[in-house]
Amino acid sequence: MKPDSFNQTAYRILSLLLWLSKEPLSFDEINQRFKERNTIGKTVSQDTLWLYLNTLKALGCKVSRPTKRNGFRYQLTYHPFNYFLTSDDLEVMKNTALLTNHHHDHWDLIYFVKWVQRVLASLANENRDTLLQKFFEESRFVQTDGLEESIDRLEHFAKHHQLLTIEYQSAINGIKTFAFLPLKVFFDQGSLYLLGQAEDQGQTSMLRIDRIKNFSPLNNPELQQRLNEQLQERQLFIIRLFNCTAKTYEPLGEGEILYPDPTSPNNIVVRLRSQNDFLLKQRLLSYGTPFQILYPGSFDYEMHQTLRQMRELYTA
Amino acid sequence: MSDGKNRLEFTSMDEMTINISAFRLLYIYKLLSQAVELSIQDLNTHLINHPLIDRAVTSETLNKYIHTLRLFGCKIERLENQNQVFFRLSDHPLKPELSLLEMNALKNIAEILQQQPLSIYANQFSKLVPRLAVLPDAPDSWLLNAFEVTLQSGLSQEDYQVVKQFQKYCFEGQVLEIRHLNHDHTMEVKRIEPRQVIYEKKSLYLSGKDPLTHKKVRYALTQILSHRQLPHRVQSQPVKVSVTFKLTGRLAASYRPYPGESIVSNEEGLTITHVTDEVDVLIRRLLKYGPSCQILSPESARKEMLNQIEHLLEKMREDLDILTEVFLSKEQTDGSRHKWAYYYDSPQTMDDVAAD
Repeated sequence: MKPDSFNQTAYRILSLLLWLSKEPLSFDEINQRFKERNTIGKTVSQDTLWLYLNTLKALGCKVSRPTKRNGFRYQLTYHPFNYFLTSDDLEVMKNTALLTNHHHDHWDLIYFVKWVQRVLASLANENRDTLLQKFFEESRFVQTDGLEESIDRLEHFAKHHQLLTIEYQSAINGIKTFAFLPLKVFFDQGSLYLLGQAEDQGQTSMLRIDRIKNFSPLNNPELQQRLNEQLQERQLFIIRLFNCTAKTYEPLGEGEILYPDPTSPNNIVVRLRSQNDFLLKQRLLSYGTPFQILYPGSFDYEMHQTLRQMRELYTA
Repeated sequence: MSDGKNRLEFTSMDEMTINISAFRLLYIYKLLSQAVELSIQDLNTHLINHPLIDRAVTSETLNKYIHTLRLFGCKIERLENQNQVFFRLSDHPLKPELSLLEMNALKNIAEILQQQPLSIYANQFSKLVPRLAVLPDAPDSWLLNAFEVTLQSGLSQEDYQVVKQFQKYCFEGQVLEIRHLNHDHTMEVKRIEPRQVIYEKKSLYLSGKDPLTHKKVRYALTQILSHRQLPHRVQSQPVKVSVTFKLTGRLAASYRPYPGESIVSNEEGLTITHVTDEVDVLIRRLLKYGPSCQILSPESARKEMLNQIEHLLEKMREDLDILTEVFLSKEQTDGSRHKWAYYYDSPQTMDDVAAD
C-alpha cells in the first residue's frame, strides 16, 4: 500500500456527513463542495449521491428527503458517530448538576443544562430520549429552553429597579396578573427564580421563571416607591444554633454575623436580617440541628405554633 | 477501486444500494467513536459478526482505512499492550463543538466541583467533557488542569489523613467499632459497616450500615473519638425503607417529585411513597414542609419524626431567658453594656471565629 493511499469513496461520504451535520444542503450545494475540496475535486451524479446517502442510512444515519418546504435540501437529523453514554457517565452528569445547583451564577447552570441536552440528544445510545428525561427527573433541573431572552430582560429590569406587570401561572390559583418589583434572578434546587416584591404581599416572593407567562414594564412611580420601601424593610433575627460551629455553619440568609455562644463552645448565635420569614422557617426546620429563636418573639411564637401543629399530626 | 465494484445489493425492505467498502470503513469509525479503545481482534470480531460485512480486514486494508479517517480529521492513536494492538479515537470532527459560552460555563462548574472535598465527580467530569465535545481553541487538558488538587482540595492535611484512613476501611469492607461523642456529651460505643466518607453541609461523615439494625447510619468524623477494626467483613447492603407521606395545601399543588417517588393525587392532596436507605435524611427534608406534611408509614418513621419535632421543641425552650437578654441588650437599650456585648462590638473577633 502506498503511504498516502486512502479510500476516496469513503472520504467523500465522510465529507458529506460532516457537511450535513452542520446544515442541510441541496444536491447542487453538495456538488459545489465536492468540487471545491482539493482531495475530491469533482462532482457526482444524483445516483451516486443516493448511493452515498444509502450507505449512511445503512449505518444508522437519518437523512430526510429534500422537499419544497426545506428548499430541496437533504437534512441529517441523526448520526451514530457519537459517544455511547454509560450509566456511570450519566451519574457523573446528574451528580454534577446536584452538586452545583446552588451555584451563584445561574448562567453557568443554564449553559451547562443546554450542553447536557445537546450532548444527550446526539448520543449513539438508542434510548437517548429516555436518558434525557432521566437526567431532568433525577437532577430535578427544570428545562430552560427558550427562556434565555426572558432571563436576560428580567435581569436588566431587576438591575434598574423597574416595576413590572407580570402574568404568572400559579400552581394553585391559575393565571394571575400583578405588579412586581424584581430584585434578582437566581437558581435554586434546579429551578430559576425571580426574587422581588409583589403587590399586596407582605413579604418577598419567589416566582419560578418558567411559570412567568408574560411581563412588561409598568409606569406607576407611587407603587414602585412603596414596593421598594417594602423590599428595604428587613426584619432582624437572632438565632442560636446548637451543635453548630462557624466552620460547619451553612448560611440561613444574607449578611449574617456569627457569634460564639457564651454558654457553650458547641453552639453559635447568628444575627441576620431577612425579608421572608417563611423561607427562614423552612431552612431552620431542615437545618439538621436544634435551634432557639432569641429575637423576635413573634417569630419564636410562630415557630412554636408550627412545631406544635406538626406534633399534633403524630399524637392526635 | 471503483464505486461499481463495491456496490452491494440489499434485499431488505428498502432495497438500498450501498458502497460496501465505504460502509466497512465508516462502520469501523462508528465502533471507535462508541468505545474507549478497540483491539484489532475486537474490530475484526465486530466486522465478521455484521451481516453486511461478514469478514475480517487485512492489516493493509485497515491501515488504509485508518489513514482515510485521519485525513478526514480523526485523531486515532495506535497503542500496544501485551502484544495486542489497540486503536483509540481521541478526537473526531463529528463531535459537537462547545461554544465559548458553554466552555466557560463548564469550566466554572468544574471549578465548583473542585472546591468540594471528596467530590469524585470533579475528576470524572473533567474526563467526560473532552470525550463528549470538541473544545474550541483550547488545549485538551484545560479541564484536567483545573483538577490538579483533586480530592484533597478544601481539606486540611490532618483531615485529609483521617479521611484517607476511613476510606481505606470502606474499601477493605472492614467492620469498625467506634467511640462516638453524642451531642449531650455522653460517649457511646457503636459498630458500623463503613461504606463511604461523605461531605455534606460542611461536615465530613462516615456513612455505612449499623450491623444490628441493618439501617444506614452516618457519624460525623469530628464526633468519632477513637475506633478499632473488628475481625469481621461487611456483610450486606443497608435495608431500604418505603416511607409514605401525605402533602396538603399549597405545597401539594406545587410539589416537584424527587427521583423514584410514586405519587397518588386525591382530594386531600398528595400521597407520596419514597424508598430510601437513609430515613434520617428524608425526615430532615420533610421537616421543612411543616404541618403540610405528615408521615403515614412506617410506624418507625412516624416515631422518628415525632422524636425530632419534640427534640426541636424541647431545645427551643432551653435557657432562653438569659441569652435573649444578652443578645437583645444592644438592640433595645442603646448604649448599655453587658458582659457578652463584647461579641456584638467586635466584628474582628467574629471574623476570627468564621475563619476557624
